Order: sequence, then C-alpha cells, then structure tokens
Amino acid sequence: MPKILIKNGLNAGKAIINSWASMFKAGLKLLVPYLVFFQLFVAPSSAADVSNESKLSIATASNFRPVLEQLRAAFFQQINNKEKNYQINISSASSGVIYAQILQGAPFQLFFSANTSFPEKLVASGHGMADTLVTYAIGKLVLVSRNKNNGSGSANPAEILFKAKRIAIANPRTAPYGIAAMEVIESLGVVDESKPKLVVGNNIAQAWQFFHSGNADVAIVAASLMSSPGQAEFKQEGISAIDLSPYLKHPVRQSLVATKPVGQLAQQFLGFMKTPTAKKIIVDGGYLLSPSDDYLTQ
Amino acid sequence: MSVNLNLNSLMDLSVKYVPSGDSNFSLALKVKLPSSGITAVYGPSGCGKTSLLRCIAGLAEAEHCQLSIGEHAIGDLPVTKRQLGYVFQEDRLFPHLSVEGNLDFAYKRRFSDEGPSKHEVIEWLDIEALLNRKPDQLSGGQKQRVAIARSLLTAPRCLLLDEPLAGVDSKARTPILFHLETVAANLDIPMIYVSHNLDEIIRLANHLIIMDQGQLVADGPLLNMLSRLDLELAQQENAAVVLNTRIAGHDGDYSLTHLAWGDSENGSLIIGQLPGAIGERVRVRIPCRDVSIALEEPNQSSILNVLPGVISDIELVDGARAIVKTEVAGQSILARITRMSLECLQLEKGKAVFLQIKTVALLSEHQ
Amino acid sequence: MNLLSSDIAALWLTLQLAAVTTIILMVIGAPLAWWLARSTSRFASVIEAMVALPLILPPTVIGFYLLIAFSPDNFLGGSWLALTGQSLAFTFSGLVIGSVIYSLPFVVQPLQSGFQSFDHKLLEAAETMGSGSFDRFFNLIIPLTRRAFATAALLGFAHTMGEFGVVLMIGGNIPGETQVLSIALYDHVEALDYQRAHWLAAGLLIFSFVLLVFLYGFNRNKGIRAG
Repeated sequence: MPKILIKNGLNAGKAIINSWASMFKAGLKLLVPYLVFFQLFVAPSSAADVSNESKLSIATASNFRPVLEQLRAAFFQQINNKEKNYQINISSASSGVIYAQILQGAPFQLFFSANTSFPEKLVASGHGMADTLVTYAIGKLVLVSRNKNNGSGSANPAEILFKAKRIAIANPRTAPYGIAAMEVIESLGVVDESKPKLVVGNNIAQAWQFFHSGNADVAIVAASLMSSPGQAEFKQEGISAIDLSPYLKHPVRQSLVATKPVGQLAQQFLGFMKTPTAKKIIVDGGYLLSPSDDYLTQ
Repeated sequence: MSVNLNLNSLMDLSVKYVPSGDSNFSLALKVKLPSSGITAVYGPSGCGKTSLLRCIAGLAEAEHCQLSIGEHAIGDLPVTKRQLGYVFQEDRLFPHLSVEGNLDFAYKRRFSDEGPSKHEVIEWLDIEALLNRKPDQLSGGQKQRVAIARSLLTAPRCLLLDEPLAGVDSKARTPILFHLETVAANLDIPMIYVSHNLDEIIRLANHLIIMDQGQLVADGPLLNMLSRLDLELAQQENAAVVLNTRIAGHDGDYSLTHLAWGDSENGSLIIGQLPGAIGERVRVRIPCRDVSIALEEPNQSSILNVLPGVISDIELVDGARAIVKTEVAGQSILARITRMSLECLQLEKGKAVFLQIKTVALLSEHQ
Repeated sequence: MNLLSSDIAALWLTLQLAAVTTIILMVIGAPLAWWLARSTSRFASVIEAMVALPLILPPTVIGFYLLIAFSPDNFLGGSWLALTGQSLAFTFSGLVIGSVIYSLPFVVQPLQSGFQSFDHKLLEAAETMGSGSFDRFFNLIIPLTRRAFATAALLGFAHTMGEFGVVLMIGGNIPGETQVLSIALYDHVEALDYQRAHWLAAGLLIFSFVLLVFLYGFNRNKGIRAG
C-alpha cells in the first residue's frame, strides 16, 4: 500500500506542477510587457531613496498607538508637512510579535515597545542603535470597576478584588501590563483569592473589552485606555478607576529604540519626542513620564 | 379466466386530479374494475395513466380519489396506510441492500400476515440465484423481477404496476410476463397494469380501461374490447383478438392439437402440439393482420385453419384498409384487409364468409 | 520535549470541545440540512445564508457579538446566569455555543449536499411499502448518505479543533477551562517560547492531516451512490 501511495502522490505532484508551470508560462507572457512598461514609465524612484528621505515606518505596542498617532499629527504640523512630502506609517501589534518580526528583518525603523527588555534585546543583537534606546513613557496601572457593583464605593483595591467575580487582566506571561497586574495582585496579598477568578485577555485592550461588555466586573488595565478617544463617554457610566501605582514596585517602563541604519526622518521624529509638545501629548494620553530619565523631562 | 363480469366482485374507482403546475391537464375518471385478476390501463403517452396510478397510491395529491377493495377504503388515507403495492418503471431497489435485504425490508413492514411468503415470492419470480447480489450487479430484467417480488412481500391488497417493462429490453420481457401470470394466478388481489404496449396487455389482462387526455374512453373485459371496431384498439398495427378455447384432442402423428369452443363444429383451431388434458382451457391470440377472408371455402391450401362465420361489422381504417368483424361460434374474430378486397368481394354485414387464419399464438403455456 | 501539563490540558480540552460541538451539530444539523435540501420556500435561502455566514465572517466578528450577547446585562447571558448560576463568557459552555455557530456550515453543508443528491424516488418506493418518515430517515437516508455524515462529522470536529478567533474573544484563556490548543500555541509564540509552540503547531497539523486523509479515504472506499 505505501508504494502505491507514493506513486500516486508523485503522479499527482507532477500533474500539479505541470499545470502550475503552464499557468505560469501563460502569466509571464502577459506580465513581462507590463513590467517593462511599468519600469520605464511608471515606477517611482527606488525604495532605498524613499525610506530614508521621506518615509518612516514605526511599529508600536498597541496600547500606545492612539498617542503615537497624535504625536505624528503634531510632528507633521511642526515640520509643516502640508505638501505631504513626508509619510509616517504606524503598525501596531503586541510588543513580542514586533520584536520577533524585527529579528526576522521586518523594515520598522522605530520600535515603541510596551516594555524595556525587547528594545534592550534588539540592541544586544545588533539590530538596534544603542544610543537611541530611551524610555518614552511609563504606564499607569488602574483598577476599574463599576460603581453599582462596588456597593459602598470602596476605594480599597484589595477589597474590590476580593469581592469581584471575574477579574480581567492582560496575559501575565506575555504582556507587560499583565505582568504588572500580577505583581499588584501579589503585593496586595490576594493572589489565592484572585487566581481562580482571573480571565486573561491577550492584551489590556482585550481585558478592557471583557470588562466593558459586562462579562468581567473588574479589570486591571492601563490608564491610557481610559483616555483614548473612544472611551471618553464611559467615564460617565459610573466606572471608577483606582490608581495602582503605589502597589507597583516595577513600573511599566515603555521604551523605544531605532533600528540600524537610522534614517534622517527617524532622527527628526526622535528629536520631536523630546519637545514639551510631545510630552504633554503623552501625559494627556494617560501615561507618566520617566522621572529618572533626564532626557525626556527637560 | 372468466369473461363475464361478476357484479359481486367489482370495485368502484373514482379519481379527480389537477396537477398544480400544469393547468392544461386534468384527470377525471369513474370506472368499475374487477377485484381480482389483471386490469390493464391503456392509452397514448400523456393520457394520464401514470397520474391515475399515482393518485390511487397517494403519491399524487388528488382532489378526490376513492377506491374500496373489499372493506378497505383507501379514500383519505396517507400513502403509508393504503396497503397497496407499487411497481415503478425504474426498479427503485435500495442500492445499499442486497436483493435479500430489499425483500426483507418489505417483509418486515408487511401490512398483514395474509400475504405471500418470502419463499413463494422467490419461487414465482425465480430470483433464488440473485439473493446475495447487490442491485448494481443485476440486469434490468432481473431488477424488475426483484422489484415485483419486493412489492408483493408487504401483503398489499392491490398491486399497481406502472409500465414495469418499459425499461427492460425485449428479450427479457417475455419471462417476466410469465412470472407476472404466475403471480396473478396465485394471488387473489386485483392488479392494475399500466402500459402502452398492446402485446403485453393482450397477454396479461382480463379487463381493460382505455384513457385519453385524462378521461375514460372505454372499459370492459379484454376480450370484448379487443373485438370492438369503434375503438382505436382494433386499428393498431399489432391489433389482435383473444379467444377462449379448450383442448378438444391431440393428433400424435402430426404433432398437432385441436382446440375448440362454442359448438366446436365451426369453432375449432389446429395448432402445434400442446401438453395438456382434454378439456383444459387455453387462450389464444389471433393477430388481425394474419386473418384473411374468402367467399368460398378454399379446398387446396396449406392453411389449416379455415373457419366459417358471419360478418357482424365492418370499419374503414384509412383510405386503403378496413377491418372486418366476423362471428364464429359465438366469439368474434377480426380481419384486416384492403378496401379494394372489401369492395371486390362485396363484403357486408350479415354475409357468410370463410376466415383463413395464418397465425395462432398461444397466450400462455398453461392456464 | 517539554510537554507541560498545561499543554496536555489544552489538548484534552480541545478534544472535548470538538467532540461536544460535533455531537450537538450533528443533532441540530441533520434535520436542518434535510429541510434545506427539500424546502421550496423562499425563506430557505435566508436560512441558507445564515448558515453560511460563519464561513466568510472573520471569527473575531462572531466572537465580538458573542461577547456582547454573553454579558449578564443582556438577554442570553442574563437568562443563562439565572438558569444555571454561571456566566457564559470564559466558560466551556460559552465556548461550545461559540463553536457550534463557528462550525455550523461545516456540518450542515456536507449534509445538505448529501441529502440533495439523494434519490427521492427511493423514498417514494419506501413510502408505498408503509415506511414512515422516521423509518425512512434512519433506515434509508442515513445508510445511503453515510459519506455526507462522515464528512460532516469529521469536518465539524477538525474545524473546531482549530478554532482560534472566537475562543480568543470569549475564552479568557483559562487553563483547563477555555485555554484550547490554538490559544496555548499563540501564548507560546507571544512568550517567544518557540519550542513549545513547535510541538503544539506540528501536533495540530499532523492530527488534522491524518483526520482528513482518513475522511477522504473512507469516502473513496464507500462508493455508495444513492439511486
């Protein structure tokens, strides 16, 4: 039976390859003239030129995206980009995924991570430019709950966690805010009571979604979520947010790094990040600024 | 088989049906049929024969369909409760079961215990050798035999057959006709046989219903219907009459058998030797085109069967032909001749003539 | 090889989810597919479209709306809570509901196709033999549409095994309860634990492949044509 299987498999494979080959040949006949035409008359100047001079691609941890978009808009205003000569593309994903992609050669020039270890790793591996590594924001952790569930309006996080039915957090294994959430739970001393009630979202956005949809009555998320444009109205819905920073020994330091080679536009943008305009946008977005980092607080 | 209508054993059939899609066609029929033996339904295609059967079975939703078989009135019963057997034009055997499996399927669901046994049915249809085969391993004729057998095993009160031999090639048909005769002889239920094949009908039926465009044209015992000149039946290519005879004697020297009817002086036929006792009943079929008419008794002719008779009716078929009906010892024989001969011989009603019969076909091996 | 207990728990959970979902789908799906195959009402095409939706909708859309529906403040979540005292989100029951919707077309469509190609003349013949609806269904239709049933069951099962988007939205990633294989795999990738990721990914790939080989082999051999 195996012999027949292999023989059939080979025959099938040959047939498939033959049909693909003939399709390919047919396609080529159409494609070649088009390509020639395109190259001669239509194609813009080569990619290398574009990326360094007028195009910048940034990859950011998803939680920072709304703020980064505001930063981009302010930056364009500052350099007067009315002609739209300059382009900044923003991709967002979880920091781990971006890190892995950059290792595989993804063409991101700036990486805004939700932690510091990934940018450090990139510097260590030679992908990242050491002197561009800087903490751009510190995440503010908050405990959100609905006032109606919270009965007495308690401001005691341990009590709220204790009474909660379902606690939504980001994945403590993979998301910086999840790690931080677990740290807070431990330092509050309610690990055993909380663990069975934990529901883990992929990231804080999903943890927030669990809470928002009513399926989780309590969530530990980043304050920046509550500041994002879409969530403004929910502040009125009787949601209270308790700052958890006092209970967090290791704040969530979000750092960025530029990948080699660092282009001109990237330099310009990094410069912009130091300005007061940029700092205000970051703080308004629900983040803290790094006090120990003189670089940003000037 | 009795030729006379026994009024005590008649069923009333009444059907009214208008198919939902086709507003041009409607079926309305009221007729009496014998409650045993084979009743054939004959007519051109599209006349509604199949619709009639489907209405009786309940497969088509008739406005109104009434039939009482004994005390069993099928009236408004759902299909599953009508207790009728149906043999379709296609065999419709269940492909996942063997022949025996198909038979068992029917037998397990039989309506009563008064029907034939598996063994009997297998014998009548001669399907013993096929029991372990699957339907896709059978020929068309074999499949239909199994289908007929299967339909009998539910102990139906009436068997409906819708052109069962239409899809069977001609060589295979004859044995199946034989099997059907066996079944009819052994079962006391009415069988309604739809066909547009006159040969089959002549062979099998003892009662005939003729339909056209959804209406009843004529009905009656087969023998009577065959010799009626007012029906189109007599004008068919293979028109024939059927005679009821009995064996009068055997001629061992020449291997011939003498048949007779009526007063047996005029009513006699000579055919090839038959097994059978004196007095045993035999049905024969005489094709109209094989009968010719003479005004005088031909003396020196190789044709053995020359019968005197009196012309009772004449009908012109078309410009060239005519049919002449002659009474011989109480039964009618039709002859198809040319109009020219008709006029040359000055044939007319009441004239005494001689019939020369070239072909006498036996309708069954035994009766 | 580092098959930690959570991976085994994920595997076991996934198998259970697939099995329960498939059973429910076969029971709901067969009559639905039968009706769709035979119905002449215009309403049928609406139902057909609804059944086919999960084929083209991103699973995240299904998950998104399910999360809303599961909320204790809404009808579905609320009544479930009242009836059973449990929430629907983040539970196995919630996953089952999500999987049933997600894999519905994979079960209904092969069944419907099988029923449609079934020769209804055989049913007429059976009817005249006194065979009622249930009898015809179990003794005639099912044996003759074995291939369709096998395809439906195996596809439903395999498809649920690989479910990701819906579970991601409503599962809550609870080990032993809602952390199915695909979520565990995603977790490993996020945590950069590629070795464990490889084990799960390869395992799932091989399992699915073997299942499909078995299915297509079975269908080829059992060349039963109805009518």
